[in-house]
Amino acid sequence: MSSNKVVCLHKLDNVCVALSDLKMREIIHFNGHDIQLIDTIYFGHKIALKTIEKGEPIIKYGVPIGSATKNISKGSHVHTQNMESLYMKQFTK
Amino acid sequence: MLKGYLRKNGKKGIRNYILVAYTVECAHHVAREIQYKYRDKGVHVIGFHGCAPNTYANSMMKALCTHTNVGAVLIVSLGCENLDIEGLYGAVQDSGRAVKTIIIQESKGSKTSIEIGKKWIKEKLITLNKMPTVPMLENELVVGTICGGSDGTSGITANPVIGSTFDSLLKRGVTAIFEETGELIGCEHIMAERAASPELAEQLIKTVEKAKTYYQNMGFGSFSNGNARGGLTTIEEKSMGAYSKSGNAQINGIIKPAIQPPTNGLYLLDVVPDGIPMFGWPNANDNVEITELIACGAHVVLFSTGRGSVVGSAVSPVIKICANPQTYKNLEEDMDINAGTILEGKETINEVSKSLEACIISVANGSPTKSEALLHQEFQLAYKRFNNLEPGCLPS
Repeated sequence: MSSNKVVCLHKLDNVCVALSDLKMREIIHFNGHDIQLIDTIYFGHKIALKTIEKGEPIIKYGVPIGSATKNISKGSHVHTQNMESLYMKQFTK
Repeated sequence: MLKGYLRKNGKKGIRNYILVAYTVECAHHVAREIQYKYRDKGVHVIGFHGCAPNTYANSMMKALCTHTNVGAVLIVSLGCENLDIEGLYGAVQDSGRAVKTIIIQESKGSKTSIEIGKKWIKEKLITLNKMPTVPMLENELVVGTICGGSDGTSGITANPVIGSTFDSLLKRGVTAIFEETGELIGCEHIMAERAASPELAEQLIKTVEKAKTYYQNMGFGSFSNGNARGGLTTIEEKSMGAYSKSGNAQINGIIKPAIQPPTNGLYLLDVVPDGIPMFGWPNANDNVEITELIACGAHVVLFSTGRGSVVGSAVSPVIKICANPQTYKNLEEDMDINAGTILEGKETINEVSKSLEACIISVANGSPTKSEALLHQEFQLAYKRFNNLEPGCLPS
């Protein structure tokens, strides 16, 4: 499930990972769809594959790795500015 | 169908190695001298450096000397150390393998001990080379996995490849072991959802919590700014990178070093010692963990590396899966599988996973891995302490 520019690690994922530094407005091809990047995305960083509503889980490796702290548009950079850990909130003292 | 070497207990090995096992560092040189001439003939050196008594070291040495890949064992003892040499000899003898003990202090010294040892190895090689192979089913195979020398590519290429291979191998009936609970901190609740029973789910969480406490006491950090710059946002995401080696299948139990999985399926190996930190880091280096996976019965170990580790191991072959295409170019002579092609967009995770699966079957049928052919036979056994497994860890 990789194109030249991104890798998606699980079929349930709503984010993929950039395989190199990608420019804003660059088009990535994923599962037969074109997604235009809204932000500049560096290697190893996450990209929203669809619109993710505030509070929805961010799915990578097929499991929740946190949740959206605001609405995230398709093609956006998904990182500390728009998601947070579920683990730290629930399980750390 | 694979080819294996049948052991007295009905289990089968994919190699027929001879071990020269020293029982304290003082006997290491003599063991190495005995083995050196035969190091490319399937004769490996293993041993324990310590002299103080340690139950874990005794269990590990017994498990390794009776590993399915081992056909005969030469024990090399100084004569006054504390390792349970009689117990080790008895365990190997009961397992139906040829065994001999050389006590240096009672054999006129180093030179004579080396001569006696070499003569014994020469004889045993002739016998073992005549041993016929028998058909071995895929469901008799035990595969372990570890990552080391990781970088930003490990969690998106080589580790998911291993996870996908684990899923496929488990469907074929293979037993699979993953480990390193210190790198699962943050995803224990996600992992617990895959437990075969509620009791096991509870134990999986407890095991990672133990690791968390141990690492905190050792002053080990969890999530750095460097991780965030690399694109990782949360601790559970970081841990998932290592955890993805375990795939998506049901988890059947938790084991500790030198305990073999009692059934087929997927097991977590808890390598973090019990109690307060006593002896140092839980994993002084990758080979300590590789040795523990092998002591749990692993016939072969899948090693994911991004920066590029070159190690192999005594007793069982190590298959190295390189996560980073640049590293693969630099270290091709040491790497068995190039998962960096995923990063270059040339192959998918599933395609590399299929190559890895074919590689495992070929290695199980006798093809040497890169590290085996290069005579990498690293071995390290540390001091550790473990309690018995809690109820709920093993399938009832």
